[in-house]
Order: sequence, then C-alpha cells, then structure tokens
Amino acid sequence: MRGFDLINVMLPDEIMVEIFRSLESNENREAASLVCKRWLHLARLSCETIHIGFSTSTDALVELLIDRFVNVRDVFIDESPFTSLALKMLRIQGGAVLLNLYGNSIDGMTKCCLSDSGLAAVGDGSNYAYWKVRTRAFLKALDGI
Amino acid sequence: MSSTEAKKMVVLKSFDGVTFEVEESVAVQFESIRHMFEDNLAGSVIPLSNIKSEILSKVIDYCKRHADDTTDEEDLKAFDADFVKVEHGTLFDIIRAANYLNIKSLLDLTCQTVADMIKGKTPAEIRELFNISDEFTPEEEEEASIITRFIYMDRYADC
Repeated sequence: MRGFDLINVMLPDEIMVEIFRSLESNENREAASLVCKRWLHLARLSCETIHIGFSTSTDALVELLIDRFVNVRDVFIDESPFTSLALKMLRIQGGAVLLNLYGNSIDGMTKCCLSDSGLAAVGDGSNYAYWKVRTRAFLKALDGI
Repeated sequence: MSSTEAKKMVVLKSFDGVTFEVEESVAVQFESIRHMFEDNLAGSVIPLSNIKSEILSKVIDYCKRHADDTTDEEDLKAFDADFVKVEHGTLFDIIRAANYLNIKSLLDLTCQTVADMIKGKTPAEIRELFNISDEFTPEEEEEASIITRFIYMDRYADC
C-alpha cells in the first residue's frame, strides 16, 4: 500500500485529534502540525490551553479565539478583573476554565502574553498579514527575554 | 440455570458477508452495539456493514484476549504490542472499527501506536512515513510555523 496517503484518507478528524493528544509533548505536536494543512487545522482543534493577556477587549478576544480553537479548555489570563469573562467561558465551553491571576501565575506566564493588538489580529483570521506582523514582533520580543 | 448451559452467543456479520459467532461475554466490549444483543434478540445476526471480515476477526481476537481473566498483565502487554504490528492500512482500519464499535481500550492502544510513530520525527520524516504530499508553499509553511509557535508557546515560555 505504499504511495498512498492512507492516514489522511482513512482517519476522521476526531481520531486525528485523539492522536494529537496522545503525542504527549508540545515539541511532537508542533512537528505534526507542520506536516500538512489538515494537520495544522487539527492542531488548532486539539489545542486545549491558550495564554492571553488581559485587556479591555479580552471578552471579545476570547470569543474569537474560542471560534478558532474549539477544544480549548484552559485559558490563562494574567490580570484581573475577570469574573464576567470566567462565567462566559464556562457557559461557552461547558468545561473547566482555568483563569490565572496576575501574581498567581505559573512560571513564565507573565513573559508569554501577547499584546492586545496582536491578539485581536490573531482572533481575526481575515486580517492575516497584520497578524503575521504582530506575531513576528511578539516572537522577536519573546526571543529577547 | 445449570452450569452446563451453553454460553450465550452473539452472531456478527461483516461487510463482506462473513459471520462470526462470539460469546456474549466478549461481545459486551462492543459498546455501541451492546444494546442490540442485550435486548435478547436471540439468534439474530448483527450486521456490521462497514467492517471487513479480516478486520472484524482481528478485533474479535483482541476482545477475546482482553475478556479472558486468566491472562496475566505481562502476557496481555506482549499481545497488544504484537497486535499493532500490522501495515498502516490495517492499523487504520482497526482504528475505524474500534471507533465505530466504541471499544475504548482498543482505540487508545491503536491511537497511541500512531502517535508513537509520529513522536520524535520532523515534519518531513512524518510526511515520508505516511506518504503525505507537502501541501504547503514556502510562504504558507512560514505562516504555519508562526501559527504553530503561537499554539504551542508554552514551550517557548520555558526558555
């Protein structure tokens, strides 16, 4: 059966997501997500944790992110207040939402927050070029830490 | 109820028309069709119209082995390890069957097997392993790696 892309022909998305979850490390998931367009899409589907920075537009932003990362269960937000957001998240996802308060954050959390505008661009897929520029700037900043 | 009473059997029919007689104690692992034989439709044949006989036979073997309380854990592990040493197409067929029949332990085993094949490889190595043609243009690839870094940024936060 050599020569055929059996895995993409035979396995439905829900199974592929299961396989992504079984990859155990993000390093493995990262490699897998760069295999082809479908796997990149699946990486988004299987993504369960997102870290974002709190801002006045966080609510809207989180909604956008949820659209794009449908299986997200944990969202880390690094500042309060967040109560209304937490309630909204629970309603949308029906799952456990872990909100991380500033000062009570996991190691490195405060270092890896995207800027508001970068995040807004991430949420808006149509604004791809803008997102790219912002994300680049963010990654560059991250490298400098 | 006498102890000599014959064990209750369930008859399954594969997509290509082959019938398999399976003890009910084994077939209970087929969560999604369990209600069909538990409703006591004695003697009726349960059609599994999307599973080939070759695959159904393997799945039944797996369930028989896992229904047997006398098998010790080490033997079972060895059996599982051997069970997944099949061609990719067969493995994917088993995954689909396990998914359809809702046999969780088999689904976990087979998905983990595929995950283990992927682990530690580069995207190019994974594409080669599964004959996946590269759908990305260089520009798309660059964009994809940015998306990916965002998704998995936990890893970078550790740096």
